[in-house]
Amino acid sequence: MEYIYQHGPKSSIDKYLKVSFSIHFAILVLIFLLAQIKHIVSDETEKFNLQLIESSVRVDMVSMPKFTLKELKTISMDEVGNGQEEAIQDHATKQETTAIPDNEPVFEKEKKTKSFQEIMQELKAKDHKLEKANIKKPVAERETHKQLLNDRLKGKLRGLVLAGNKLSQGTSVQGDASDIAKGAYYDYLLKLPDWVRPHWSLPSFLREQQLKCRVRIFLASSGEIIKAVLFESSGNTEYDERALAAVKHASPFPAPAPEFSRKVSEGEIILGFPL
Amino acid sequence: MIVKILLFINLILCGLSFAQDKLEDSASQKKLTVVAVGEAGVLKEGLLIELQDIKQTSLLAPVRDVIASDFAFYKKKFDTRTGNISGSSLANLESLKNKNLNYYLNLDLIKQNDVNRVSYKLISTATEQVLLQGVEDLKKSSMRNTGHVIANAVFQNITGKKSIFLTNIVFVSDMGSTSKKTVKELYVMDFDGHNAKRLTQHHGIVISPSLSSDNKKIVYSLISNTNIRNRNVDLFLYDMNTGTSKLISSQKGLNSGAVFWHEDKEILLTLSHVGNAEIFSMNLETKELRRITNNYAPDVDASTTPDGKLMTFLSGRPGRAEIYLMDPSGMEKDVRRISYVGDFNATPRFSPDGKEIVFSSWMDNAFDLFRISSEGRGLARLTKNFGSNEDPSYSNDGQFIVFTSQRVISRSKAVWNLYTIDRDGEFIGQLTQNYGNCTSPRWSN
Repeated sequence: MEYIYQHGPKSSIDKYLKVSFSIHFAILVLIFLLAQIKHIVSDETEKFNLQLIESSVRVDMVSMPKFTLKELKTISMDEVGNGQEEAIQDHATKQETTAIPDNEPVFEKEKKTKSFQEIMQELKAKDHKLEKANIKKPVAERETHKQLLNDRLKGKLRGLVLAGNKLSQGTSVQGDASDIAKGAYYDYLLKLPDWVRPHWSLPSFLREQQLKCRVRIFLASSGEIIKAVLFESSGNTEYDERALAAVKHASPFPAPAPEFSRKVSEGEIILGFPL
Repeated sequence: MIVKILLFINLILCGLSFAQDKLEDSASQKKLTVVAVGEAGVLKEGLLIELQDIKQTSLLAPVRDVIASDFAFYKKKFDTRTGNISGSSLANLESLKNKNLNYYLNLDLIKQNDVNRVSYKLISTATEQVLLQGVEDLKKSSMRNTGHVIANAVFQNITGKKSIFLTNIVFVSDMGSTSKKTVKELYVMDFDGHNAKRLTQHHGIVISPSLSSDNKKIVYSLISNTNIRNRNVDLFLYDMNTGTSKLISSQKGLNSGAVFWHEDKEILLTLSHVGNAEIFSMNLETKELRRITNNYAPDVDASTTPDGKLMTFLSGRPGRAEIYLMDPSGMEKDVRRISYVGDFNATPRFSPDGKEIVFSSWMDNAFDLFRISSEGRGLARLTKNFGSNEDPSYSNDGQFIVFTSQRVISRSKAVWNLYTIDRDGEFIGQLTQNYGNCTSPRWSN
C-alpha cells in the first residue's frame, strides 16, 4: 500500500494490476505446459512399460513343431483361399479366429498366446482411451488401419512363422477391434492388395534383395486407373517398373463407392510393395 | 518494461501452441493411406539349353545334361528346359520370349588345333543381347567339370550370385568294411554326388571332418583300429594339395568336433583331458590351447559364423542337450541358450550368412532336421517321415542343406546315405547310393 501512495494512486494501481495479471497469467500458462509435459511423459513410460511386459514374456512351445515348413505353407495357403471372403466382410472376428485347425494339439500353446494377447489388447484399449484425449484422432486411425493390414498379412504368413521357442516381441496391439469396422472405405482398401497381388511377382534375385517401393494411385469412379506414380522409389529401376506394371495390370480395380470416390480419385491411396 | 516482456512472451507462447495445432490439423486432413500389397510371387527364370547342331548330340549332350541337372537344384528359381523348342535357331528369340524363356544358352562344338572344344553363348531373349560367351575344354574325363563351369558362369551372369556348381562335399564312408572290422575313411565328391574319391587310408574310423574356408585343408578325428587296447580319438589335419595327413592333437580322451576359425589359423575343438568335454581353441602353428567353455556339463560341437564372432555349440547344462550361443573370443563370454525344446538336439551348424542354425533333434524315434534363427526365433521343421536325419551342413550359398539319413531296409540292416534339401525343406535329391554307409557330410565353401 505504501508503494501506491508514494507514486500516485491511479497509475500505480494500473501498473500493479498489469504486473499482477501478467504474472498470474504466466503462472497459469506454466502450470498448463507442465501438466501437458507430465502427461506426455507419463504416457511414454506407460507405453514403455507395456512394451517391456510384451517383450519379456517368452512363449515357449511344449514340444518341437510337428509340421514341417512345407506342410505349414500348404495349410496357410488353403486357409487363405477359403477365408478371404470372410476376412473382407468381418475383420473384427477375423482377429479372433486362428488360421490353424482347432484339433491340432501342437498349436494349443498358440491359443494360449492369443488369450494373453487379448489381455494385452484390453489393457491397451484402456490405454488407448487415454491416448485419444491427446493424440490427434486421424493419426490414431491411421495407426489402427496400418495394424489391420499388418494383421491381414500376418494371417497369410501365419503358417510360415512357427510359434514357440522364440523370444516374441508380441504384436503391438494398437486400438481395439471396434475401431476396425470403420466402414466402407476401409473395406474397400482391404480389397486392393488381393487385386494387385496376382500381378505382383519378381524374379528371385530381385525378390531376395528385400527392396521396398510405394506407388500412389489415382482411380476413376469406375475403378479404372487414371494414373499411377512412384511415391517412394526402391532405388532399383526394375523393381519400381515391375511394381508399376503390377498396378497397371490390376486395373480396373473395384469401383469405389460414391462417398469416397473423390478421395480415391485424388490419389489418397498409396500401395506399398511389399509394405 | 518487464511487464511488456512478460506479456509478449505470453502472447508468443499462446500463439505458438495455436499454430502447432493448426499445423497438425492441416497435415492430418491430407492424409495418405498406405495399403500393403504384400510379398511378391516368384517369377522363375526360363532357361533353354540347346545344341547348335543336332549332329553334335553324342559329344555335347552330356555337357548339356550336366548343366540342366545343375540348374535343377535351383528349381524354385529356374525353369530349365533342353531340346529343340526353338528349332535350333537363334533368329527365333521372340518365340522363346513368348514361352517364358528369358534366357537362351547355345552350345556349339568347335575344333581348335584338332581338339574338340565347346563354345557357349548366353543370350537374353528380351534384349537379344549376348550376355556371356566362352570356350571350354571337352575331354571325356572332365566332361562333368566342363558342364559345372559353364553352369556356374551362366548362373553368376543371370543372378549375380555364386552358385553351388563348383563345390564339393566331404564325407565319411564305411566302404571296404568287413563284418569283423569297421573301417571308415574320408571321401570327397562333387556337390551332385559324382566323382567320389577316397582321401585317407587309416584303416580306422574317421569322424567329424571339417573344411577350411579355402577348402584346402580338412581337419578330422580318428579312432585308430591298430591300437585296440588304447583307443583314443585323435585329431588329424589333411592337406588337399599334398594328400597327406598329420596328427595335430592327441590329448587323452576326445580330440574331436574341430572346425576352422580365425582365417584357418586356429581351430575350435572339443577336448576331454580336463575330465569333461569342453571346447578349446588351438593355434595350428604353435599348438597353443585356450579354453573357451567352462562348465561342469559337457560342451561339444562348435560351429562359427564366417566372421568367427559367434559360436554355436551343444551343451548339457540344462540337463539335456540344448543349443547355445557364445562369443568364442573369451571364456564363457556372452553365453546364451537359444533352444528350449527337443528331447535331444545335436550338431548345430551355422548358415554361411550366420543368420540361421540348422540342427537335428530327436523326435518320434528318429532324428529330424530343424532350423532356427540365430536369435532363437522362427523354429521350423525341415524333414519328416524320411528316416533318421542327422548331421546337416549348409551349402556355400546357404540355399541347400546336405545331411545323412538312415533308411531301415530289414530288421538287421539299415543304410545311411547322403541327401540334399533346400533351406525350406524341399527335397532335392539323393547323392550317394551303393557307396557304403555315408555319414558326416560337409559342404565346401
